[in-house]
Amino acid sequence: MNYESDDALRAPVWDELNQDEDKVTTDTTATGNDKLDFRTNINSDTPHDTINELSQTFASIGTNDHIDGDNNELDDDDNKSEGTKLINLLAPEDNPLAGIENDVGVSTVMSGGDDLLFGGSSSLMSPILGTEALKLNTSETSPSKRTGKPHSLFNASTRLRRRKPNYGNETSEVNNAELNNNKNSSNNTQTIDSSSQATSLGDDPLAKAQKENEFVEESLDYENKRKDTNGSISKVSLLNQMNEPLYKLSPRKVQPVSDDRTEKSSKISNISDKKDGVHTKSSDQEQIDTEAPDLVPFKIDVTDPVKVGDLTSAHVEYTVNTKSELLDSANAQVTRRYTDFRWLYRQLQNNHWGKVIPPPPEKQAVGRFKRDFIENRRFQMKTMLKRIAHDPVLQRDQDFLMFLTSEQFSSDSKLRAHLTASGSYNDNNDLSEVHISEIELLGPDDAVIVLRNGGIDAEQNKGFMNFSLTSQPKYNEPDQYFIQERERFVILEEQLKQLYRSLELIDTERNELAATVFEFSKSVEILAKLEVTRKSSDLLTSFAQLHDSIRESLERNSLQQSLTLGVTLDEYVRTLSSVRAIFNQRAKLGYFLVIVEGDLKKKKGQFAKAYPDFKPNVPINDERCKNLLGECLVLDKRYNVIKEKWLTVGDDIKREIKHYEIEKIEEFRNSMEISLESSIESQKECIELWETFYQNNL
Amino acid sequence: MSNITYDDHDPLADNPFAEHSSAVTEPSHIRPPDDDDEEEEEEEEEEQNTTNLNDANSNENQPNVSQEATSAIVTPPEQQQQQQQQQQQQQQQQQGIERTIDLAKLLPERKDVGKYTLIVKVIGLERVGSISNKKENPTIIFNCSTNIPTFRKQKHKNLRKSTQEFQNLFKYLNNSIPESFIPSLPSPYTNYGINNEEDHDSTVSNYQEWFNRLCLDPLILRNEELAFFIESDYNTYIPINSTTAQVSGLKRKTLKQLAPPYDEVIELAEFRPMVKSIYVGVQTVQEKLLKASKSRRLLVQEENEFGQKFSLLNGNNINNENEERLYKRYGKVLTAVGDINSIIATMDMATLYDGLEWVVKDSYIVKEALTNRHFVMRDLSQAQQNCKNKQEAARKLRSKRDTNPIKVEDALRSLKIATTTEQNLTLKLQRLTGNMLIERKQWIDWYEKWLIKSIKSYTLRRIEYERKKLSLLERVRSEVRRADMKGGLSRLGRHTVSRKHDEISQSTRGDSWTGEIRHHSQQEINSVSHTEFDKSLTIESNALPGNKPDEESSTRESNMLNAKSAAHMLGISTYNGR
Repeated sequence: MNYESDDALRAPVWDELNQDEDKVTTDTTATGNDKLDFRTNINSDTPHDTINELSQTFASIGTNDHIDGDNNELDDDDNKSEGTKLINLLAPEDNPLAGIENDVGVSTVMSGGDDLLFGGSSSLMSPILGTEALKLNTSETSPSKRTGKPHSLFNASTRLRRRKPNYGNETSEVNNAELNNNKNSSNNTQTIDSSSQATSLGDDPLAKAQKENEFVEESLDYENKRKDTNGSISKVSLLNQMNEPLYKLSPRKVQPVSDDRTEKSSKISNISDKKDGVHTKSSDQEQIDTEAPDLVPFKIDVTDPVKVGDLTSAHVEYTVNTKSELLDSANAQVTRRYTDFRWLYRQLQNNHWGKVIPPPPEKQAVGRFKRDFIENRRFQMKTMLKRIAHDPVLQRDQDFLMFLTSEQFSSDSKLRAHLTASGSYNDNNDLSEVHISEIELLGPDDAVIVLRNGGIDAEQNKGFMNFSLTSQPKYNEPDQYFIQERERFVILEEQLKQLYRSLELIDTERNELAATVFEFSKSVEILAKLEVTRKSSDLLTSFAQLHDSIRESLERNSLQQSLTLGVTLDEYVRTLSSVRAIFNQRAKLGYFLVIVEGDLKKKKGQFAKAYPDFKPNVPINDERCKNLLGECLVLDKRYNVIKEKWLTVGDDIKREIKHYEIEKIEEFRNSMEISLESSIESQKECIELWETFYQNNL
Repeated sequence: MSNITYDDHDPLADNPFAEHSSAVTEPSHIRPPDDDDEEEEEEEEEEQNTTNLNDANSNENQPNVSQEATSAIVTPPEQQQQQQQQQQQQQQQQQGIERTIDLAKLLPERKDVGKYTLIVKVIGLERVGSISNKKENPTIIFNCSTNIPTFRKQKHKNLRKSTQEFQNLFKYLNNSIPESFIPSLPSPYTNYGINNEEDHDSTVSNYQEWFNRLCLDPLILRNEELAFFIESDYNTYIPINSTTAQVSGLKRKTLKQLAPPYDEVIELAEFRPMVKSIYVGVQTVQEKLLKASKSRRLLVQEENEFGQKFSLLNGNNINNENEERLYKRYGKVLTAVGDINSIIATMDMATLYDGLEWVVKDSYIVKEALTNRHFVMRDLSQAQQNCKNKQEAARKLRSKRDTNPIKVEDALRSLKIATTTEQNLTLKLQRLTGNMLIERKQWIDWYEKWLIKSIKSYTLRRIEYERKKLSLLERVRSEVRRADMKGGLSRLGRHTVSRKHDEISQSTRGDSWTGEIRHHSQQEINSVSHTEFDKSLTIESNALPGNKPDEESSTRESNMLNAKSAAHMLGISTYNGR
């Protein structure tokens, strides 16, 4: 299925919808403005210089509220329970129900107007805009004007989508902060929220009035900001932040390129703004990737495997020692077990789509407590952690840092897994299998709805079960690149696996040979002890010694090989699973995309059927119509979000693969060289042994 | 050894041989064997003279041997003198010297070693016929010249004998000359596999060695069967004289279980267990070597597999040709290294295993010969017992005044027979002991020599192929380093590293890694840098596009001979010959 064409096919509908929406927005600008005005007024009461973090917290809570609002509009009765549920889900320790009820009240008041639906829909997006705009406000002090222009709305939504990945972080931040501020802030939430809304709407005209270029610049700036917030989220010390001045400057430096690209792309492809935005974004990300944050040196060691637990729960615990400035206390020592490493892998995979996560060792059912195996696993896990720590992005991941420091890891990790819906505990054996977190994908608000319905697939399944038993929709990768690369990697993995197996066999055989050579040497020794003649026994004795040395040399060589080529191959193979995982991520996203697209189509069809003479600018009084339209919009939004992610992941993958290839091939080649050199050296040693023997004895 | 003494008052003293024993005056317990010998010699002489007339094969000794013996004992006065001398010596001197004097008498063949010579030169080997015949029964071609009277002609050329004939001869000799450790036949084939030069050479040299050993033994040389063997037509030889059957089968097995009889010759008493230990020990070594060789072969299999998989690697990666080439080349080299390992496995077998194989065979023969001596000793002690009994009976008869003269006659006769047998056996044992003491030394020398030779050839082969391995590995090194512009790890960040690819550690100037001065000739270097698998390597790399031609030409250059090095080569010994 070609998405381009599909998109083109759908485009009219979209435009229509947009136009509708736009028109409505335009129509309702006045009222909306009034409302916003009102909010701004409220907002002015609260101090504007709130800490960034706090504002984010509010924003996220605000988002929750708005979901409520949204729900409210969709189904008034559900309102309260929904809010409670959400709160329970996201902030189980606290109950800011009162505040939320307040909010609900406000929003109901707000939605009391006749243009409730569209107001609602715009407010659905607004909180995110708000966060963004608020920051923009604080940093750039852009003049705030009010418009409800369609363009700006779209731009905002683009940013909104870009903003999404942080949602998980933010929410978790909220929880990590133990919702300290929650109680006192819950009252403020609404106000800040509305203020941000106002500012965002005020900001939008800037984007509209100015050309695409400016917008790009803005978004770049925004990316900066995002990094900043990321930094603060991952609790980077202020010092650290100060140590990273580079990337503040760099985006501007390279900006013209991106502008060109944007222009080009807008010229070449006559696609919607949204798409353009995506392109811009990808180029932005590329730049950011090249200007990755400074690598903070990590010193990680995995030591002291200790077998703990009784017969049924026996496992091996490893001590993880870390030294780094990124940690709160510079030094950390914790004990982790193998499953924890797997959790870390899954969690990182969830947090960073399209990134090849250094993989943990493979699972093994039997012989888990053998010394060699444990040592090997320890080494592999150490390598894994080192690699993670060596990646400028991954090293700052809060889950990674938590993994390195947390004293109550089992509860912390469960909490995190729950919050991000990463499914890190339902760990599949296959490293390449992925779980797409709905929260990560859709943001917490929509994800809750989806999750309540049992995930995107479940919705899909249910939908189909109700009507027909048609087969599951199939995702066909439109980009040939992914198919080819995936294929290539699968073949490569297979080859490398075989190579590794071969190497293992060589290793066993070589050890076997060493053992037989040892036996041989022993038997020669026995013969030497017969002392048939002095000379012969001397000869035999040194002959036996020679073979003993050869055996040692063989064993050393074997160890060398397994330490160089073996370890590299093993890791190569496992990272290839990780590579396949990112391809799977794209495929799964694509699959979701297809499902949601199908749903959306269906809903739209339903809507069109029910209201064939629907006029966007006519106020809707029919409740059912409103509901349907709302559902349409939700699905529409969901579709956009997924599509965005899907495209982003695609770009990420392409970039990551390029990196990965270069890195891995170099690594592999290096290990080849090491192994070759060590073979040469051991060969020389061997010759020397023989020569010496020859000279001394024969 | 007989401990029988002759009572002066014994009526038997006037038996035909009593006069000799009268010469023996000293108490028997001091040194009885000699006078026994004496008597036995006489006896033997007499007996043999008669038996020779009747049946050439009745006696355990060979006719010619007995003839020699008689000729040696022609002059009794000499003997008397000798005996007296001996007796005096016995009282003062040690056993070893006695024995040498003994030997001249006991083993007249050894008296003048080198009187008769047989010089054999093995010149060829022929493997014809069916596969099993080719393998098991090759024909040995040899020349020989001799001055042994049993031969009709002094010189024989291009004699052709099949291995089967050799085996017949060996079997006969082994049975008919219990005094000697007959050298066992070398294996008719080697682990090089048949039909190649190495196999041919080593089999020929093994047979040469066998002949050399055979010709050292005067007892064998004087055996007329040897002449029969050599002068018979191709593929027709079967032993003309039939051999007396040795103790064999179940009886042999049972007897072997018994504790060995008391042996007063310490060297031989210790020799058998030692040979047995050698036999067992070498067999174990062989077994372990075989095992090692086998596991090396398995390793080779895996190495080849690994190399092949390496070659296949990244076959689908279109964007990096250089890389693909590297993998291919690396894989090829790994495969070639594996193949060299396989050659090493074969060489191990062909050099050391085959070498030890002969030791095993030979030590078995020696051990059995020693066992046969034990049997003779056992027989002797039985005969002595028998003799004692007979004497006792005779003494009893004497004490009775009124005895039946027929009974007396009977007793006397049986005593005489018993004494004769005993004396026969004593002589035989003495001959055995004497000869074996000589051959023991020879055998141990041979063992040492052969062992060293085997280990030496093993070591040399090993060094050669290990060097080849090294040169192979070093050849791919440049490839690996050149795979990317960074030049690999070898540069370690340095900017100027010689782009020279031929960092070959083995050259005419010696080995780069050692301070020791080892001069290799150009030929050695060539043989080392030239492996059996070059073809597969170069073909591949030539077939690949983008291959740097300079590299190929330069490696070839080093393999090529120029006039100068050729001249140099001719002047020096080969690599293996040092």
